[in-house]
Amino acid sequence: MSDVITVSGLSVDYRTAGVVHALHDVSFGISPGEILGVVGESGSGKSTLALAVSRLLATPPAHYTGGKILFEETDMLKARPSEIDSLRGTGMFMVFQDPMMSLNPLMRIRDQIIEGIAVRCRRSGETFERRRAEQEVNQHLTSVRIGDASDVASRYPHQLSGGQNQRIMLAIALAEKPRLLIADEPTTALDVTSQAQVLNVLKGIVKESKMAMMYITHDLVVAGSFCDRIAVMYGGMIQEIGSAEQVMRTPKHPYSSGLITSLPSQRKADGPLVGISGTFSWDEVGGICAFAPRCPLVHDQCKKEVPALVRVDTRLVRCVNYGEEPDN
Amino acid sequence: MRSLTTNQDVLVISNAVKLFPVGKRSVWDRVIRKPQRFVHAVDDVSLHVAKAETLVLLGESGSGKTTLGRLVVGLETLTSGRIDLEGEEVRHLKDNGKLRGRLQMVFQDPTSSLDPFMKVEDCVAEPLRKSKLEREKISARAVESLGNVGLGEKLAGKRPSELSQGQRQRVAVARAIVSKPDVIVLDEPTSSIDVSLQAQVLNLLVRLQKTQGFTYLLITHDPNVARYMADNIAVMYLGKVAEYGRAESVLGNPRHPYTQALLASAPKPDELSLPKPLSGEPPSMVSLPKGCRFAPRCPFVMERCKESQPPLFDKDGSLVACYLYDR
Amino acid sequence: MGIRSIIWSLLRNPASCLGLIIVAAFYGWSVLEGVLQFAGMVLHMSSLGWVLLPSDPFKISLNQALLGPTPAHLMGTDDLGRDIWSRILYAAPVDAGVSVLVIGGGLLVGSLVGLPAGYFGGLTEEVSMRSTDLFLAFPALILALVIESTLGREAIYAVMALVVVWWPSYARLFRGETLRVKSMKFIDAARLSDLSGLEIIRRHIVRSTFNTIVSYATIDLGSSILVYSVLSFLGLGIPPPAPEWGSMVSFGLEYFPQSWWYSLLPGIVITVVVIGTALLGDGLRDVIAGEQ
Repeated sequence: MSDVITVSGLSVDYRTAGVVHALHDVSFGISPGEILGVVGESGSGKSTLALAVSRLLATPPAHYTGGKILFEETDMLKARPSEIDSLRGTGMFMVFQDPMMSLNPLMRIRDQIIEGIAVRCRRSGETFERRRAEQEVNQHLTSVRIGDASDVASRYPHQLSGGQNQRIMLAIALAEKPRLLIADEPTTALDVTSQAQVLNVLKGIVKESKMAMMYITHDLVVAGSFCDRIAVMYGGMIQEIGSAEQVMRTPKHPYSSGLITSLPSQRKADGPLVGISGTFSWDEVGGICAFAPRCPLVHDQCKKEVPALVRVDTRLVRCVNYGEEPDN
Repeated sequence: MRSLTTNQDVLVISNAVKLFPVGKRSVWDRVIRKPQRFVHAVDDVSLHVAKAETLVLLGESGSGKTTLGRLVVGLETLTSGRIDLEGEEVRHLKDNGKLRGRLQMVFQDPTSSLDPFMKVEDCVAEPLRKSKLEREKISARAVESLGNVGLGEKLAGKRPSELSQGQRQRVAVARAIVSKPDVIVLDEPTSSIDVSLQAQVLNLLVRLQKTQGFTYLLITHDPNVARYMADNIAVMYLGKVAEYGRAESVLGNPRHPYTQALLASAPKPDELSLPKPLSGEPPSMVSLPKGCRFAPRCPFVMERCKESQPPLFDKDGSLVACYLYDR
Repeated sequence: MGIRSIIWSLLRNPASCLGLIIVAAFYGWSVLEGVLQFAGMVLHMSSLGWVLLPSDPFKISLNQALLGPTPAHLMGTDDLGRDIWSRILYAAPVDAGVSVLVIGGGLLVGSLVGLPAGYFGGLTEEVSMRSTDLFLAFPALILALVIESTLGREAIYAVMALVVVWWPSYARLFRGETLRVKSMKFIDAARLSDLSGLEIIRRHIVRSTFNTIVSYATIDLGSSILVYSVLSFLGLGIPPPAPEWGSMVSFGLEYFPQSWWYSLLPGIVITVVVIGTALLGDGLRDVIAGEQ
């Protein structure tokens, strides 16, 4: 099965007062029905990656300085704006963190979902019929576990809770049936119980319709429970990428293991938490391993050049502490 | 409820109730005597915290935990009930002259916690402004406080915009401890900062409690943070206490169906599958169900749950508001 | 976020750089010339006022009337042979002074009304906002006409009328900004430190609100110049023979379009100054937003 999206060596710079290497040499692929988690903290570049892949970055001040983004057959960096527009919605669908920003506050829920259905019909050649579309709306709302679908459908976004709105965004995604769903922190603003509901629904949708999904989050634990593969990002680069089980159970990169030990999983009487010392700063990124200033396993080599991605088992790690076998 | 330590209770909350009016009432509404609707943000909550211990209020949005925290420090006034700090009643801020500096709060968002136009040193020294100390003494205390949270003197002259989120949160903690308060309320202190910095802040809080004996009321929605920090835990749902007991008991052997669902919903680092979700939506806080607040979503609901609200039943040292435990 | 770094950021952007130059030139010149005129008045040496000007702005020479722009008279002469460019330069301090007084007055009254309204809410807010609504209903022109017809034709009465009409929008702005700042947690922290409402307003709210409003006020400087020019155009400003930009446009209309320079050039000067304030205000807003 060929990948829905393949990113190779993507690099993006932000040029304002100075130059910030927001993304450097990012490569990954997602196959249909697969969920890739992109995990990083603030400053990791994960949100920039989501925007870069879907060509939603404002250029300037951002500049694509290298690499390739291949979405099915389309070269995203070379395509014309009209081609990219035709991919949005049914090809690539983005769900953002704040549903209130993505939903139209002046349209009823039903009309927003119908809009999505109309777009899908137009592009796939299906005939659009109003009555059938309205039934489909109720279907989608029920799929995302929204009770009392017909009542909710006639409401406006501000009348519903954050969790409901986030699920409505997913209902619109269902209506448009995209091949790739990019979700940037879609459950961060939700309560733990709502988050559990949404993630269950999402996983069901993805697996059933063989959608590819890119799930961006700062929460490594959620990524571990939800995603098939995880890419850990720091300083604009992928530091480790492998299956969820590998990254969570046996993290190789010092940053990945640092993230896991930072999680409070014990009681205070058991001793202080072993976290990661120091803080991140964009000033320290560029020409060296971005994590070197904070790394407990740092060597001189780390401050001389950016480490290459090395293959360890079936995963890739960007760290000089691992094997000599470079990734081709 | 007995605590396992011999420490004295520092903070006692008795039957606290806080109602917020809903909707704007125009003059016309007042004339026709339209009934005012209320949000029962905190509904008859009784808790206590012993000295140098941490009580965690665990709950989701709408549980009333933030409101309760604000009531404790006096930022909100009780509709009824009583809050006592070492025997003295806590009223609204304006009336709390005697209690000045003894109750402090650390807020969730480090960015809005600090005035962007004030130097760090002035931010930290603010609680001492109304004390009778001289300027140099206040300045020295502020620098000492910064040192206690692991920030050097060099930062004293900077503005918050020049600091990282983790540093800002430390400044907020420094400000909270400078007046050597009896009780510090921490409202989701680590929810808005990166995981790697969260560990640093939590370690700091534990160290300060051990060395200086602060008493914490920690508000969070994260059971893992609760597990690490808590001596006692009160689980809140829609303004009421669902379960209340020692941390090991509440987390290790949760009795209330909501506590069980909440803990089950949180993803755990060593489990790689999705947690099973709780069904239904949290009801609106204005029109609450007549009986137990959790009845509409409870997998063990019985008829009597819908009729009346369960009181707190004692079960092996924990208090549980659930008819399943009625002997 | 010092003044120096703000100016540096402004200079880097071509639009705001231009605005800064225009505004600095306008107010700088007005201060200089204004001081000279004032000193001249006090010392009874009125010629001090035109020491720096190309020609005497009051000197009438009818044989030089209505000459087009030449090197001797950069903007030509008016119907009484007076040098228009000198008159424009001489009249600059008037508009500068009016703008500062009006906007300053608006900021002062607006903040006194809006800050407590936003912070204390309740009755204070109701009273403040309803009086604001009341004053917003006053049309500037009619008010100026009424004041001047009763008290006499002085520029100062026009200024008073403008301040009365201008402060309500600032009151609204301050109230809105105060509400925004009030929701910040550092205000809660200040309340916990036992600071009184007035202390909190003074220590925290004033600084945060002024920061956002200062860019709006800068643009407003230009707006007030525009409105005052209209009043002056209608004859409600300083009576002749004193030059005033608005009235020059008005007098020049009689000779338009043959002696187009008489009406048009003062009008262009007004426009340039107003655009300058707009560019500067816009640039300030971007710089301030960038800092936050």
